[in-house]
Amino acid sequence: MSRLARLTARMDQLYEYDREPVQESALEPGRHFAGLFAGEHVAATEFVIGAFFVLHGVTLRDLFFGLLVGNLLAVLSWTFVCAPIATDTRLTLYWYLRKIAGPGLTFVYNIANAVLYCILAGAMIAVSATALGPAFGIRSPGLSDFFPTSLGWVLVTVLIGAVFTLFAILGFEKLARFGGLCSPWIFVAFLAGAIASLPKLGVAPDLSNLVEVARSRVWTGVATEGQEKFTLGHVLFFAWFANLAMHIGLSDMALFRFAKHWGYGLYSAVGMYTGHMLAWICSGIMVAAIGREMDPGRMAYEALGVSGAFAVFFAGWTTANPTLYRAGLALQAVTGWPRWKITLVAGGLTTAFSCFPAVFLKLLDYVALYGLVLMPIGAIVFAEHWLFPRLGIPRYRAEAEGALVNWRAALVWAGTLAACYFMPLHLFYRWLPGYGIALAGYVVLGLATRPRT
Amino acid sequence: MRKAALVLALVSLAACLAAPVAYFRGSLGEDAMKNLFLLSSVVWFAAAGFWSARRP
Repeated sequence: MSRLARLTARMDQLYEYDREPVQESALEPGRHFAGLFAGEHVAATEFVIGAFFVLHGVTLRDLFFGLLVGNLLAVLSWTFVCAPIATDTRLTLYWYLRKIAGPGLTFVYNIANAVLYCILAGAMIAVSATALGPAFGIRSPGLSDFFPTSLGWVLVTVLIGAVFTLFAILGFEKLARFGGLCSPWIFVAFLAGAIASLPKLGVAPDLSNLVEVARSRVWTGVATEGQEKFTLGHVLFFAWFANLAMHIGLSDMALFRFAKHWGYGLYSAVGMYTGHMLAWICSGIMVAAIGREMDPGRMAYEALGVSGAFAVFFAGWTTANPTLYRAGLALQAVTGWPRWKITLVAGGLTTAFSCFPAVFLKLLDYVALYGLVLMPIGAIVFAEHWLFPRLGIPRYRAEAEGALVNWRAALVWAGTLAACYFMPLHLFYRWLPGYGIALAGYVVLGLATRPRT
Repeated sequence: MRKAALVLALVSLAACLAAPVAYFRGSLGEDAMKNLFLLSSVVWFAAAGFWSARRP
């Protein structure tokens, strides 16, 4: 048995509990999905993303229409791409991909996912550090900083990373419950912070000059020095791909396999229009009120006092923890270590990432890359599930042949990423032609290599 | 008891939102708004935590 085969067998054992398709009796009502989406998409990163739109000189009109349409496209992607495959198979992406791409490639996908998760959790820790730092007199890094700016910053991120990791080791279950309590309060903190910032921007109590202030002092259309100017397309595409790995990349099959109907994908609108529209607008208002300085902790502290700082800290904590848990689970298969030990390693890795301010100061680019890297897998699964039967190409050949790796899928994944790398387009736009390339490439390879009968 | 905790939690969450609205409309000072938000937040976590812990 090769090393890769041994590793994939170990990974299978970890995911054994959800190997079978979900039974009819385990299906969840719609409100369950509404709650999940509402909780999951009001995270620490929302404090950064909305503020960055202001710094990138987005206009009020571009912001409004970009978020409205971009989030609609995201909802439709969940509804028409992810949910139908999930309700058809009732499997997680892990097990469905295993049939399609073989256990070896699924293993590689999981490891890539784990590392990307660690970087994302690192960004959450860094955002939390901006809330805690001022208590120790530590200034948050500036926009152009890539490396740690001071020993104090490193110590605060390491301290927060250690606490987050410790709690992740002690119990995911209790923390998930605490996260459930935090979600509505964090969303209210976003709204409250924005409302409390309005007088500082000069908005009249009767709201008569709200639009004028929004245009002249918040979404002015002028980018901060050193920041690229964003337009409608940037906002629209960002809102669409912010969760690309989840909808087009199909990792939310894990969620929608419990849905009674594929139409439950529409419940994602609850998370999109609260977290990815209202919360982004609120953080934009808060950053404008502190003179466009990218410092989530200060933003919230100036608006709501110590509660604001706690809101940023808790938002980072409650979202970093499930991320750490998922990363640990994916990495567990490589080592076979107990969960506490691998969570410790994932936490250490995440903490190391969080020391670099770039993880949150370059968050928009990172989110784009994260989705881009995993997107071809979604295209491969989509092609095999919907297009192969219509074109007479046999499905699940990797499983039928007992292949460790489906080399057609591996080639398409690598080839698509190479093509995206060389595309003469802004990073935000590359995934869409990339998705087309992956779909077409996988279908062509499927047709070219189908067994003759 | 559990129902009362839920009502108290929802009222405290509403108070979290009412505080900055009152500040914006000029009927509450900035410090008072921040203190009210903090107090309402503490009540939210206590009441919602109680309600959640006793969920069947």
